[in-house]
Amino acid sequence: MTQILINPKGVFRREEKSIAHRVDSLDKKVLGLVDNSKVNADVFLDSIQALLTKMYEIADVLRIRKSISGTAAPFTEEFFEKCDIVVNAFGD
Amino acid sequence: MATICTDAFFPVGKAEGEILGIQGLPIAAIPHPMANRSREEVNVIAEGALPEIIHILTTDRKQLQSEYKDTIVQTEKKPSPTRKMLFKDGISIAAEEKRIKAPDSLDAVNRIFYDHGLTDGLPIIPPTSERVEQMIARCEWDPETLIGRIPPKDGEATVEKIAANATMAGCLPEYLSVVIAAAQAMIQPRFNLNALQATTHPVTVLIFINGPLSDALDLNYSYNAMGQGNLGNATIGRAIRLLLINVGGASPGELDRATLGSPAKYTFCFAENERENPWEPFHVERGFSQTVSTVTVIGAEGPHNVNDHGGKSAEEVLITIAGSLATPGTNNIYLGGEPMVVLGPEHASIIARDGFSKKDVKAFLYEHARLPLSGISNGNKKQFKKNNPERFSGLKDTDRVPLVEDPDEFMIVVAGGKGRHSVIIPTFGGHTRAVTVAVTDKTGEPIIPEFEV
Repeated sequence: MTQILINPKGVFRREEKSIAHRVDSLDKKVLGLVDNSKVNADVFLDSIQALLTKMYEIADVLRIRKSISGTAAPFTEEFFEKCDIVVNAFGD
Repeated sequence: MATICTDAFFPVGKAEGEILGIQGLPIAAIPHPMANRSREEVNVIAEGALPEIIHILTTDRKQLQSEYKDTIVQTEKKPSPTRKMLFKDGISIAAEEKRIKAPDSLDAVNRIFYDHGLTDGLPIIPPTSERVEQMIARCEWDPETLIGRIPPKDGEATVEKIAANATMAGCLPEYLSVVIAAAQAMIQPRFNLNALQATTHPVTVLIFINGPLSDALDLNYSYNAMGQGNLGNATIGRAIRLLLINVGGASPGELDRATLGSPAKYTFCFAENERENPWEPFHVERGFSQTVSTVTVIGAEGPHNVNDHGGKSAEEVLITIAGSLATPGTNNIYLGGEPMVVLGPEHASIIARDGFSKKDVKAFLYEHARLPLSGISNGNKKQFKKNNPERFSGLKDTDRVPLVEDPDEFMIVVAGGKGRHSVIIPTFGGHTRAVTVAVTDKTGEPIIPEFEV
């Protein structure tokens, strides 16, 4: 004996997307740093910034910081327009 | 972009990528935890992660997605065992399938649903097509109406899905409109459900009900209002939890990352005791007519009792409540928000008798529910100052931090039976805001019960 049940699971519809194009070299690129305000994320990004600027000719660095990790990052048009590469830190 | 996650949160990062439609989001994993590490240790970890970050920034995107698609970061010696398969049933339950063919046995359905992670751990009522149809028919909704999408997976909450979960929770058909209203409220952006679902904090969705439907549906706002014993309170709150799991996709240990969680995550629903409230009901304060029934969703912790049998004046009772509110471990202390105070009718009566309006109560709590900075760890203080300089900079250790930015952010309500107890309910913080909506029919008209209350 069988019975028909209504599936309680939600239907998850999503469009397949690709990640952004990558760069060939980090030289002369603008680096964006996204700090989600988790403890030590800023220290981690400071270190990444220092290491990358030592190894490459980084043109400029833009940085944004969330005041609370559980909210959307305060991205700006300037950030999107200028940054060639972005490092986002970190998941807890 | 190169995203960094600690290894413990790598699966969440990966799942978030998939939710956005990206298979193989490249994520550089670093060791968990990071918060307790010195600057020197963080520098060493950053140096170690650098080659992978450079690889992520400079490798062809298709190659990267293919590389990271099947990457698994083993984080713990034992994976978080939240659920063990009891039975190998061989039944596949794909999200796309609207119907499930299952054995006609209560025990078997319960085992199958449990094994597939479709329950809260407690037995469920099988959501047979007859039961679900009957529930939807009672409230005259169209089963295909899309109420919204529930994060983190953005599952489609149609009326039929909501009714299936409400049936499983044990709801009576007439509760469906309240559950739908709660779903409508919790998907409002200001509620920030995505953050609530995935956080390590033990936040749950508290369902608070006002208006004539409380009596019409025989909901409990009196003795043991937050406890066991009432079908409506128990099952409406539970229906929302099942929706969060099944339609939102927040399974414990996977996308629901609560460190400990809370018993309030099973169900947390109660109504306001408007009969013994000396002030205007909560929904009236929020601009609704007293004859309209409302659901307010609150991103809340479990309740914490405030016992004051000795206080004889408003100030005395409120000082105990204020002291209970100002505890250093809550999110409200550093993130603000809307902490809730549920006054027992006896406490409310003493406070009102002394001439306090609700506004006066809020003003009193604003002044007295403050925590000396010395009660907060140095590490937390440093972090709080960095994240919330307006609130914490320039303060001395003897200074006392208010719990909210604005006295009006305290939510003051009345519930419970006789006895000298009240309750405080800390919230997730200022990045979630309580949302109140009217309980309506499918046309958006408020549901008015057909009897005199």
